[in-house]
Amino acid sequence: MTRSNPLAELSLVNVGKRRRAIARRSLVGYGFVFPSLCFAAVFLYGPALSAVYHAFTNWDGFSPPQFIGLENFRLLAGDPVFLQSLLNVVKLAGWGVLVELTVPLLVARLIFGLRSFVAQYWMRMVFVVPLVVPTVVFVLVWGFFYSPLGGLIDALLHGVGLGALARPWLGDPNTALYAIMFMGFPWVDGFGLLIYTAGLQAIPDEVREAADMDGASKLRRFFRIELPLLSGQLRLLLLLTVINTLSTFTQVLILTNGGPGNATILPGLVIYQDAFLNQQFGYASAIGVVVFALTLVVNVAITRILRPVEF
Amino acid sequence: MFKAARRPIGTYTFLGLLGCLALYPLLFMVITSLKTDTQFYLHIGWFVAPFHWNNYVNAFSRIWRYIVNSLIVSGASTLGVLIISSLSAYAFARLDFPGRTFLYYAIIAMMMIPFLLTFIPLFSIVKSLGLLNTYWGLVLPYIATGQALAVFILRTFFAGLANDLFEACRVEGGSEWYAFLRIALPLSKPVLGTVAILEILTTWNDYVWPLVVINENHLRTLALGMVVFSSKYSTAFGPEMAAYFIGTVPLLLLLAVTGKTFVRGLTAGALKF
Repeated sequence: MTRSNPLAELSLVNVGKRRRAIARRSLVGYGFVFPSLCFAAVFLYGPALSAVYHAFTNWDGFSPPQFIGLENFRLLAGDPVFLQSLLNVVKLAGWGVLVELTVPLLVARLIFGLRSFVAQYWMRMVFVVPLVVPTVVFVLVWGFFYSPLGGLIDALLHGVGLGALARPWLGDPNTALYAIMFMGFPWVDGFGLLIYTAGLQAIPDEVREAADMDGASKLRRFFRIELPLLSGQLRLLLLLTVINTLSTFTQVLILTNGGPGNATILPGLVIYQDAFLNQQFGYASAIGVVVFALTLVVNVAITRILRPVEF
Repeated sequence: MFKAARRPIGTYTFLGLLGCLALYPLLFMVITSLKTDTQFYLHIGWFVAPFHWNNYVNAFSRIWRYIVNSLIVSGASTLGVLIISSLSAYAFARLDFPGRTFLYYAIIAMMMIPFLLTFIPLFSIVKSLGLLNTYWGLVLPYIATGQALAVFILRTFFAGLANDLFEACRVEGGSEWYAFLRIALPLSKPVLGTVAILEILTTWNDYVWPLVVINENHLRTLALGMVVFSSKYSTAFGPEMAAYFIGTVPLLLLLAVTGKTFVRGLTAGALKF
């Protein structure tokens, strides 16, 4: 009897088995991801592709859309309402960035410098608590502050003898957008505060000690050493602020409806009004595509141009 | 700014002042919620006795339904996100199948799609599925959008779990399903908590999507309900502010109970970038 090679036989059997095992495991894998993919296809990728398609159509949301090429985009370029909304959103984003990169950072650094950890914890909590106030409530309460009827701001102005300045802040086209910007004073955003704090905590103590040994002043130490090491956090908050501002319009939808005139119109609100009040679904989709493109550009620009500092 | 650090009294005063200003809108709600309209004009922005606790009874009787709706919608969305994203994150982290990387990036890339792009077509899809004026019309899209970040967070976590446990399970002949349910999930309770808080926060706060999907009053979520309340009873400041404060309490409670998990959920949004 010649000796067959048991190893070879075994491995042949194994290959078959292995293949089946791999196939079975692949099937298990697809089973696990199936629900996720279904949700993604139906409620995200489907609508996203549909938006891109409908941006090139004339569509009222009911009857079949007609393909009209770039007509929507041509109209957009000359639409004063849309252009005003872009200008407004740029102003809001600029202001948002300015505030987000300074106030929460200052507060984070001051709290971080406190000796007592208990004090640090509770001071941070004070600024985190306003984050749980629902957005809608925050907006409505600020609307209340601005109100010409028993509004807190006018009452304060009268109280200090500046009653002449009192006005319907949200109803005056000259002040409405600034009133929207001023909301949230003193702008100590709890989210930013937490992000900066995490960044400050990640800086090794040796780095600070080395700076102290060199006799650097605290102010110098902050600007020369800590700030560059926080560039990742700064960049993150810059990105988040710009992108959130581009797509948010809850505050103007509730408080001003874009008015008076178009003083506080924002791109999101134009989409909402065009689709749900004017049945211009195609046109609204085109605005959605423009906002998406802007988001991408901002994203790429900020991540490419502002590379984090390596150390 | 740093001179203050040597004299902490200055720092504490400054931070205390900012803190008072930051908390004032919340305090303003409480102050105003206890007043009649006459009292409101008497001393705007500060407490005036007697306190009208009845405003709370009045407000609660009108908004409890909205709170229940929000609890249902946020609860169902959170449960849905936890289920589908833990399943797929597990597969992306620990199973091998063709197209795994591509599919993973396809899910993650959804974070780059802004709501304003999908807004209009999503509405017409939800409408054609007959989901307008239903909880499903809110819950299903919330699950779909919420899963992107959840899959990212969970996959990172599952990938970091020690391999030995899963190997041992395989050697013993345990199925992947068993490994997922009995090993992966029990080990990831804290991170599942973070994902849950994140999802609760986003769904609880949403205003625009429920506004277009829900028309019937008895289905309105809290965010919608409060705006309706403000326009309907705009001259009854006390009950209005009481309603706002009641609407804030659920999340305040959640923060108080979950503490660190809550803060992690809050900042998890930063992982996007």
